[in-house]
Parts: sequence; structure tokens; C-alpha cells
Amino acid sequence: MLTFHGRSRVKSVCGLMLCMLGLLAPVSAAAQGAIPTGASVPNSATGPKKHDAGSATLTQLDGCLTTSDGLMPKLTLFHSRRIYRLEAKPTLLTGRPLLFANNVNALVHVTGYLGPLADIYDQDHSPVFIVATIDKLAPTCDVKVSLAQLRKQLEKPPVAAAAASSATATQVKRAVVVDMTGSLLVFEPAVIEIKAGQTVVWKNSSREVHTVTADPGQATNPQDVELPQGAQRFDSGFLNPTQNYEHTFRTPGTYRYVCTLHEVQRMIGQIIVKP
Amino acid sequence: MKNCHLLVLAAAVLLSAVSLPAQNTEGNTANPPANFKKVSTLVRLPDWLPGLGTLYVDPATLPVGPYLGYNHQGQLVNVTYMISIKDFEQHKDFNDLGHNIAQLDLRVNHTSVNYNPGHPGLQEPHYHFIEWLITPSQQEELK
Repeated sequence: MLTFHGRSRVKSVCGLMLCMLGLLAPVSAAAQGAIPTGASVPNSATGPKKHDAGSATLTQLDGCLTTSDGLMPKLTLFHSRRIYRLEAKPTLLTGRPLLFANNVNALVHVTGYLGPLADIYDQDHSPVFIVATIDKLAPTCDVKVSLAQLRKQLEKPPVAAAAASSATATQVKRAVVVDMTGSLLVFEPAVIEIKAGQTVVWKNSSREVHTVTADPGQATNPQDVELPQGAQRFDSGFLNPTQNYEHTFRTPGTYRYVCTLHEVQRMIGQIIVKP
Repeated sequence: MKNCHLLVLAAAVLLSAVSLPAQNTEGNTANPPANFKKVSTLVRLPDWLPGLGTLYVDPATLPVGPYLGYNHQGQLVNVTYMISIKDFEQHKDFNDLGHNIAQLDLRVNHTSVNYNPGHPGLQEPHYHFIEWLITPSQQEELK
């Protein structure tokens, strides 16, 4: 039987081992649980801005959202290049579990609070930033316009912005591409809006086998799949790395599809087809 | 110094979890033992898993394994164990892994430890401990 010290040591070893392996989802209970009311704000004339929201100091950051090992969300500030480890405010991901995943490699505007501690699982020991809201400023971090212009675009009504974005995308290519990337197990973007008659191409750029399946009969939970009335079910079958699959959507409505191999991990996408 | 001890201990714990009857032979072309089934007949996974090959497992040993991986030529190229992170966190021990393939008398070339967020058969986040019987360059052919 292990003594208390024995257990502690084993625990330390396992912790270290997991740390060595880059293991464990980046959840820092300490960082998540406590939102500092008087958090110090980094010294950066170009970076964080803050304003008071009640008693807490709300900080705003603009930067490029990336992930470390496909798991740990990080934000590299647009100007100063300072890096923050992002944690979600407890309720932020409820109903939107892919919020970080859907903004990977995008330029984003986040509001939130500085966390009290660096994440112990973060080998870079980046300061923790607890995110309250997140908005995509641009789908890529390589932008040629100013932040002010991007923010102005963000202030447009969502429908108009989506239409503008959709129109731009249509000008570039008729088919809309959805990527299956890395170890995040996500369709990127997870939600897209297209017009009836448009084709969506799914690219498996990950190292895993995936499927693109809108067939309730093949889903673990049939309710994860949704098809408009009269629409045909579709299924890519197994897609090996580098393989593509495409489907043309003719029936307007909302389609929700899954990767049948990773449905439990919530690899689910949605396509809204407008008339 | 203390950290060094911990590292050694961690490595020992890691290796003890993946011990394999390691002896000789290259290019083992033996069929899987009779009680091993193709994984794709047990769970919804393709016959061929890029990077691993065609996997066989004794259903009695699920989900940990050993899983025997065969290449396109029917050669046994790896033995995989799948250990969930939950098991690590619960300090679970694994002893005598691979006893059911000891008769294959395999020689390990190298080991890979790969994270996996979950898949049919083991839906929770886990690690694949892959004992390779071939060289890293030969692994490239498994794509």
C-alpha cells in the first residue's frame, strides 16, 4: 500500500510525465476559477486596452489566435507580438465548444481578464488571459489593413458582413472549402453559409481518417445530423489524409453533418444553404 | 538532481507500461493468433489505418491491446497499446501487457508515443504506445 508520500511522489511523477508528453488539455482550474478584479495590465501602448466593467477590469487584446500542439490556444498580440495563453471564461464555450477552434490562425479581438497564474502545462509559461468575448477581425493573421479598418468592418451588421464575406469568397472560388485539420478534430470553418447550387469541398489535411456524413443512420447520435426536408443524405466514406470529398447543395436549408469516427469528440459541422 | 531522478522514474513508469516481449526477428509474416480479430470488424474504423496499417486485436484485451499492425505485404510491423489519460490520472498499473503475443518472439526497433483525442473503440483522450518492428524509414511506406 502506498503511503501518503508515496502517492504524492507518484502523482508528481505522473504530472511530470504528462507534462513531458505535452499531455492534458490546457485547463487550469486556478486560472479559470478566479477572475481578478484588479489584474495588472501589461505595459503596452500598442497592445491591450482596458475599460471597467463593473468592479472587474476588462482588457481588450487584438492578435493572432494559434494553438500549441493543436490544443493550447495562444494569442500573439498584433503589434507587440507578446503571447498570451487563452482560457475561456467558464460559460463562454457552452453551446459554442468550437469557439477557439473556429478562430485558429485568424486575427481576433478578445476581451477578458488577465489570469492570476501561468498555466503549469504551458511549457512557454505564457501569461494566462481569461477570455470573455472573442470576435474574428480577419480570417487570416496576414492582413494588410489597419486594425481600425478591421474593427470598422466588424461593427457592420452581421448579416451584411456575412453577405460581404460570402460575396468575396464567391468571387475568389465557386467551391467553398472546409478543412479537416490537425489533432483538433474540427471542420474548419465549422459553420458556413452558401447559396443553393454551390459545392463544398472537404479537404483532409490532418493525419487522421475522417468522414463527412449527413446520414442519421450512421451517426452515433442521430440528432447530431440534420437535413432539410427533401434533401439527400450524403456520406464521404472514409477519407484518408490528403483525400478530398465534395458535395453540391441544391436544397436550401440547414445541414448538420458529422465525422462518424470523431462524432463523440464533437467533430460536427453545419452548412446553411440559402435559396 | 531531484528532477533528474523524477525524469528517470517517469521514463521507467512509461516503459513499464509498454513492455513487450522483445527478442528477435525482422519481417514477421506470421498470421495473427487465432483469437485476434480485425479491428475494423469490431468497431467502425477502416481496414487500413494510415500510419499504422491493418490492426488486429484480441477482443478480450480491449481497449488496451496489444494491437498487431500489418503492412500491405501482410508483415507484422508494429504492436500498439492504447492507454487513456484517465488511467494515468488514476495511477492505474498495467502489468504483463503483451503476454498473449509472447510466442511471436518479436524484436522492437523503436517506440513511438502518440496522443490521440479519441476514436471508435476508445473514445476518450489517450496515448498510443507503438512498438515498431521496422525502422523509421520503413514506416513511411505505411501511409
